[in-house]
Amino acid sequence: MARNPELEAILQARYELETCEPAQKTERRAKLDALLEAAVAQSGTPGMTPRALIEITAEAYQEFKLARKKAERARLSRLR
Amino acid sequence: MKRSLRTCESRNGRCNLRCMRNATLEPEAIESPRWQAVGLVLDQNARDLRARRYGCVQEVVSWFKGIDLFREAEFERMVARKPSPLDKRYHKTWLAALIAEGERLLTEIRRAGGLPRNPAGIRLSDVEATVEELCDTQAEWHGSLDTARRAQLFKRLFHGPQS
Repeated sequence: MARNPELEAILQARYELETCEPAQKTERRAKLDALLEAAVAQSGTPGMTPRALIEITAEAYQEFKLARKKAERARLSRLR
Repeated sequence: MKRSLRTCESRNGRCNLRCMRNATLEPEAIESPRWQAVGLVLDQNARDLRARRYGCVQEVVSWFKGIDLFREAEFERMVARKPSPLDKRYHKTWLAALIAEGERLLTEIRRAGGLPRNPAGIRLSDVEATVEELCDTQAEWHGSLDTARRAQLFKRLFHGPQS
C-alpha cells in the first residue's frame, strides 16, 4: 500500500536501527531522531512527542516489519 | 514473582513508563520455548552482571545478544501472529528487564570512565541508543493511548488509515 513518504522514512529508520550491528546504533538512532523531530514539528499537534509518534505508528511499523522479514526470507530461500 | 518497580529515566527523558528492575519470573515454568529461552539468557546475564564475572565489555556483548534473542521471540510471537495476553505479558516483562539491565550497564560504564575499546567497536553512545530503542518498543507495544485515539492521531498526522 502506498503511504505517506515521511511515515515510510520513519518506519525504515526504525527497522534499520533495530536490525543494525551494535556499533552502528548511535548513527542510526540519530537518523531516526531527526525524522521524528521533523515529524513532530510538522504535526502542529500540541503535546506531540517523538515517543508518542512511535506509539501512534505502532501498527504500521509491525506491518512494515512483517513485510520486510517475509521479503528477506523469500530472498534467502531463492538463494539456497 | 518478585518485582521492584522504578521509573525508567532514559537519556532524553521521553521514556516515562514504569519498568521492572530485576524482573524475575521462573523461566522453567514458561510454556513457550521462545520466551523461556529469552528468560533463561536474561537471568544468566543478570547473575553475571551482579557478580561482575566477565567485565564490562563482555556484559555489554551479552546484553546485545539477549536483545537479539528477544527480537526473535518478539517477531515469532507478537508480529508473525496475533499475540495472546500471555505473550504480551512475557514481552513486557523481558523488555523491562532488558531496559533495566541496559541502564545498569550505563551506570557501570560511566562509573568506570567509559567503555574500553573492543573488537566489536561498541561505544557508550551505542548502549544509550539501544536503551532508547527498547523504550521505543515499550511505547509501541505497551503505551498508554487506546486504539481509537491512536487511529485518530495517525489519520490526522499521516492522512490515512494505519492498516
